Amino acid sequence: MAGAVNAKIPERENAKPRRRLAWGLIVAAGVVVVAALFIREIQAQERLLRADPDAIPVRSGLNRFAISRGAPIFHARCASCHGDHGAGDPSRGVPNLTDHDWLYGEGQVSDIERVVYYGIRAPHPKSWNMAVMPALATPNPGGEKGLQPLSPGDIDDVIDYLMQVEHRPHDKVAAARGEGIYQTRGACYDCHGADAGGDSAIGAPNLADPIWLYGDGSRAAIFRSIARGHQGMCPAWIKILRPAQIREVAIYVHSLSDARAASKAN
Amino acid sequence: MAHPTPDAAPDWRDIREVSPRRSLILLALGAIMGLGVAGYALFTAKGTSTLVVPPEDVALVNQQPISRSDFVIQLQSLFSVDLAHSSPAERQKVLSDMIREELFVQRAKELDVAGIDPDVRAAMVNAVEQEIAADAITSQPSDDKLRAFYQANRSRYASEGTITVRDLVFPADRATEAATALKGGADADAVLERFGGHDSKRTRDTEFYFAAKIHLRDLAAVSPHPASRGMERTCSMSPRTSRPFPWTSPRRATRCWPTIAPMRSPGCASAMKPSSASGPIS
Repeated sequence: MAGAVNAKIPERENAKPRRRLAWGLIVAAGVVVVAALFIREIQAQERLLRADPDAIPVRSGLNRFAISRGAPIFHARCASCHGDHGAGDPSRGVPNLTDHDWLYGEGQVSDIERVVYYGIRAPHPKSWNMAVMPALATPNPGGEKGLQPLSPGDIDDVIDYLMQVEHRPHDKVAAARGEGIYQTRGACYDCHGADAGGDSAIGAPNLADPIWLYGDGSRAAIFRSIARGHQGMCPAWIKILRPAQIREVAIYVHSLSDARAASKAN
Repeated sequence: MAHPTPDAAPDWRDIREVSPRRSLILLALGAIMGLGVAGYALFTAKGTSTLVVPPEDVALVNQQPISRSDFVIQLQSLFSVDLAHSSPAERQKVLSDMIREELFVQRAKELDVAGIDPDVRAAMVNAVEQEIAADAITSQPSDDKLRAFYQANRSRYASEGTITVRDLVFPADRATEAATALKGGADADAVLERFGGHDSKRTRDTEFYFAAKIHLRDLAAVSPHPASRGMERTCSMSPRTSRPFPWTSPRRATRCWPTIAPMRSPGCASAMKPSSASGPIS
């Protein structure tokens, strides 16, 4: 019996280093796995950055990768204005990102990425800042451009014209007067286009569709927009987010409008 | 079973024994891994990389990156095509232009253009100011701070009120009586009929407060209409919501001195300043 006990002691002593070796191998394997995942992620980010941004949405693997990483960035940086689901806030002129109405560009990933990089009317030299909506109920609405103010009656006439363009109930006589103002001294055509279709090259909204950036499209809301003007802004994120993060959030935002299109199609 | 003699070196693979050889091998492995990590970082880190162009850039010009995003924007601006639909020649042209510009900028730095050219200095000052403003714009002030700012700058958020202006013209010999009747609260249309006057229709409808003032200045500036010779004019500027109408005393020709009452229009952020909302206007 005593001999059996003595015989087990060396076995335990032998087992200790083996256990250590086994643990060491497990830890090493863990480190290798983590390193491999890290390197894989770095490589995926590199592929993401080197890819044509507008082609990424059709590359499902890369698209999924970007969306999964872009969502938390959006919620941390953009949701405070655009909302958790990107639906925007018309009362503050925050655009809805889930529709297909894009103020700047055509809604391509590269267009969205540019806005995220440099912002809109942000204090960055490359920021979008080509036009503002003048306050036409002020003595000097156009600043150096020499725009003349419109009277309340003029503004009401322009609203009737916009109602006509949008096929909503309107006063035909007032709409005819409003069209004259729109196309001449109001200078609305200059940014919004002669057909009121807007201009995404300068961020002028389409006035002929039922989507309104500010307010609910009521006469009162349109009156306020014309009378008091607008110049919304979006910050430039170039100094705050890394290029990969900016691309990821741009692809996520692109996916918001795509998801809605997909659900509509269904 | 053969046992090593006490003088023989232990087997380096036997983990139970201390082995200088194993220690050296592990040390060498650690050093190689460390050097590998350091070398990778040295040759790939932004700013020190000389061999690899970072994935977010299309080129490095003396270590200065040319951003891929800027390249795409430039391509769209110059040729109105996206990256997928651009030709190699178009891409090459854009890239060459951007590299050339970067080289010129770097040479300008060497020549200390910023120290010589006032325009460049002004642009640099402006850029730094924008940088400072960026921090302020992206900060999130508290509600209390916003409220305090609003209270201190209420006039910046005031909208123009609206005023209805009527320009009534009466024969000179009956103008004073007509004005007295109007000031007494008589209906304007009834007074017009009773005293043989007419509405000049110079004022079409409701006007913004400032516009009404401009309008009356315009009235003062124009010469009397031939039809109104020998007539006297009474002007009224009436806020939509206040009574009674502050009719002016009759004036010959186009001169009038209306009194404007302070008012608040629907949706107005704050009341207009009393100093600008009352008093004679010529």
